[in-house]
Amino acid sequence: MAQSVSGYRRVWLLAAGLAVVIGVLIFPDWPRRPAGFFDRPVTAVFSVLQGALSSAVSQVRGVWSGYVFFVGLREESRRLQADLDRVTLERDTLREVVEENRRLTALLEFQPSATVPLRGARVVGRDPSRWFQAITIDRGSRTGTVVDLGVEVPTGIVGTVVKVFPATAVVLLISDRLSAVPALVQRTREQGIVEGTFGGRAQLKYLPPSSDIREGDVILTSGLTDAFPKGLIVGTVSRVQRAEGELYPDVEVIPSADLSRLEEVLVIERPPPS
Amino acid sequence: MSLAWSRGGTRQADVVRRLLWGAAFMVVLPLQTSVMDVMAIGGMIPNLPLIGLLLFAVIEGPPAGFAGGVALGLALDFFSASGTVFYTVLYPGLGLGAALIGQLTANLRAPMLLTVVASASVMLSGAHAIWFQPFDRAEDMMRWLAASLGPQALYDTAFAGVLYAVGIWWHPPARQSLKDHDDFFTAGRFPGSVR
Repeated sequence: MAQSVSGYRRVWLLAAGLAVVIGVLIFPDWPRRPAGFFDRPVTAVFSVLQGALSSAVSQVRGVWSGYVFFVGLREESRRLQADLDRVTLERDTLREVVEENRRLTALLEFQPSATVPLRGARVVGRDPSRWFQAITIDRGSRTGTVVDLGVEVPTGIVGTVVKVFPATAVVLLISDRLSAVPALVQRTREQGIVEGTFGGRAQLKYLPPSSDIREGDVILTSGLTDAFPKGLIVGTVSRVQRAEGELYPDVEVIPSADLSRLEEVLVIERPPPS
Repeated sequence: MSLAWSRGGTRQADVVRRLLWGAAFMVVLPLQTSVMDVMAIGGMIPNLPLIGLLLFAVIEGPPAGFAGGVALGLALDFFSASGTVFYTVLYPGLGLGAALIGQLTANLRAPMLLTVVASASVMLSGAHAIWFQPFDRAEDMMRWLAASLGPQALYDTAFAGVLYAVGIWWHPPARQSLKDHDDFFTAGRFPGSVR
């Protein structure tokens, strides 16, 4: 009987595996480092396979929903959704302009915010582990993507770039519990931090204890990080609870962007230093 | 678990088997990130890397299961947003454990495999909760246990069962003799059908 794994090979396999495990324990931050000489071929193969599979799935989905199933309805729905996105964006922008104008009348000097360059990207995958709310986009270091860039869609912000490979990048969604985005309440201008939850929702933390926040309030980015300029829509307050003995109100936020159906996104590029 | 390409005996069969496992390792993560979303039920997606590792470990034995766990763990930590070595530490243990259980219960193929997958799914979730401590409050953890842990383990187990059934249908298993069982302990995997 032929043995596929001889005694020596078994020892070598175990020893090699143990060496790798000990190696990563000694250098625990290796997953956060940029792809090096040895990682590049692996990431290249992974990106190609991921892109091909993602494209195939999109094609199949497109054929099914576009040509076989309700051709007209789908087109009309897409058009109406695009209109709704645009009108929502305009409405929230106007609200923000009104609030801004009210505050600016009291100021003597006003410096308008610079326009931010955007770059389109296609979503090619989700996080391989089911524990993290993250997506993979087809923009990597070759196209100038770097860690900590913000990502948005017309309806709101999506997340932040946390890992960059040559052809792809991983974006941590705002609904992930490791995500934290400085934000403010549009109506009251109170500032806090939007964090993700384990259940894939978001919550606004560290508001002032006396905050007057209510359900339906719109949450915007506060511009305190480089990733997101001030005034981008984060979401809407869906629940406010004030538990006895708790300093901060418990505020649940529904992200404006539909994070479960992302197909194309916009990467917010940093303007070149002046 | 005597799939045709897992049988020893000829050099060609060994080469084919290794090539197939290699290809499976290459595509399992892209499949999980790009295709498995299609199978989402209530936000739950079958954990294909975990199921694939357990199948591989049970079929190929402890050393290969351990090495496969190291490789898959490294890849998961590298491509996921975790930024830690969680999978590199955990997956070799899962691969080794599954292979050892597979050896001890070699005559109970389907029940053993399904039990291993269910246990590994629950253990992975528990280990994640301990490692990352994602819950601010105990009630959140209880809600998660009720809503996610059990259903996810069931879904993973059912998916592994379907894969196993397809494997059985494709290559019906051969009866194993006591000698085969002894060989399995020696070689770390099933040698092939009884002739």
